[in-house]
Amino acid sequence: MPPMFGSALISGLVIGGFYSLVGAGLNLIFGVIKIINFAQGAMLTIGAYLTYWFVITTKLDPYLALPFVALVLAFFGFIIQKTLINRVLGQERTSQLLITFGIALAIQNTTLALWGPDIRSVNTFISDKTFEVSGIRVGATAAMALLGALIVLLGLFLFLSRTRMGTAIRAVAQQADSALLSGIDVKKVYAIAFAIGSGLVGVASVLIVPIYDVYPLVGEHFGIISFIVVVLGGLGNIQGAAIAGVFLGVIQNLFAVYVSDSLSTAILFFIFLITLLFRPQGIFVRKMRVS
Amino acid sequence: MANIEKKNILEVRDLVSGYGRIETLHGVSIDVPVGGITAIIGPNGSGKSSLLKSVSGLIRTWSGNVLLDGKEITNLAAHKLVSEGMTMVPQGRVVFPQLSVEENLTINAFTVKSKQVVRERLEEVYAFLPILSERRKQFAGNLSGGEQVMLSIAKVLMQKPKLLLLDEPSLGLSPKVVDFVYDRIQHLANNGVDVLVVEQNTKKALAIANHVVVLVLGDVRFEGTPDSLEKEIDLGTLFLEGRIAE
Repeated sequence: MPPMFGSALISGLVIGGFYSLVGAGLNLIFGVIKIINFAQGAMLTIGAYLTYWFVITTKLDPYLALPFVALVLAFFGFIIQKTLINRVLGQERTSQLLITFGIALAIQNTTLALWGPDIRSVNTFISDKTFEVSGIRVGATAAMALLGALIVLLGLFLFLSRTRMGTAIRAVAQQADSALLSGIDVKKVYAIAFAIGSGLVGVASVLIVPIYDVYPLVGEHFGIISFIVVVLGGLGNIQGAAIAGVFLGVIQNLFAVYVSDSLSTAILFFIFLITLLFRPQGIFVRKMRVS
Repeated sequence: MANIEKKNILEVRDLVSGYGRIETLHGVSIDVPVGGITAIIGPNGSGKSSLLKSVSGLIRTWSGNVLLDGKEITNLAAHKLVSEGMTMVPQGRVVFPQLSVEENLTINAFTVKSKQVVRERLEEVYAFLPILSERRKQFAGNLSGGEQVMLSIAKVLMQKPKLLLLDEPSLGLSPKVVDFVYDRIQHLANNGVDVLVVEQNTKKALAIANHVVVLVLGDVRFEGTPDSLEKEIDLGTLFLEGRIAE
């Protein structure tokens, strides 16, 4: 494998892993609760700042913040669903759309007020370590991100397909009324789904921080791309979202190296538009659908 | 001395409910006696389904009371009623199409914490309807119409209810499948499950019911045995004109 192609592929896989995590979370929330969470990117920003705050306060390695950040974000998501979104579910579509948009704006402005617009960065014990795989240099933080995304997504599939709560989540996604009659507390399941979707973003943010700088809009890029991930993977299709995320990451990086760096993000939106026009149901497998 | 008074599994008192601002039930009172099948019949739009939805917590009761086995359950959340021993099979699609047959069954025992008990009930269901055992790994959405009906009945068995509410079980089924469904309902009733069935198929409902309620435009017009119903009311006129013949 030519080294240039190899390293473009690796960084594509890494960024694709992030897209997959954030997109799978977004798709889970959409599939189960049928709302579009515009705050997905803003949640990533919170996660990044939490990680940064954890590191400067405890002087520990950022990776150790993973359980803390994932749990805090999951809890935050649970509360958002319980206190805000559950209240607008019976209302008009527009209030449902606008409420997560409002949450996103509130988060962005709060992080700006708390930490200012400065760009910050965080180092981990493996920040300067690299290793070689068949002639290609791979950064240890990149490998960690890829591995982390893979493990967490695999865990999500197993949870949804094998556990009692996972089955309940899929049942609610398919027919909420019938799920009620099965004895499932649907509103609680909504809150759990929102918590998991947010927890996935928490994992992504910890893995991202050693690679990207932290600033109030760090999550926005990933938040917007996650919509492309969802459209490509198919609405409510978690497995499709995971594959679509990696696909987009790889395309973006190969395009940057071989065609044009400045157009590499724009190409993703072209893919988005073409998919919407010609295959709005998504282009990846439809097996692991929650709805 | 033994209590010889007739007991009711479900009592509905002066129930008022509806959709949005439109009132569809104007103070309905009915009794569902213990032991047997109660049928609610009536013309289209008379509030039969609203009554079931209101009783089972899917739509709000505006005023009035619902008592299950003497216990107040008015406006209790639908998912909580399952642990109280009441379950409803709604109209139309009642299976989760993209869960396997076995997942469809186990999910209905969601309120049962013991895996052992779930396992036992699953075995009972498979013994009762062996076809489901053969199909256990298939998506419920890939079953035939008749098999999906069997699955919806089997799902109810997983909950071991005291009272089963059925909303038009014959809807959209071939006569042969309707016969099968009614045979299974009768079987459940014979095995100690009280049944409240709402039916458009009046003939079928009257054939198995031992207590009948006629609902017309949100009011109860008759309550009693099927025999006395035929003496008192001309059903043809009722269904055609939406009122009782004088």
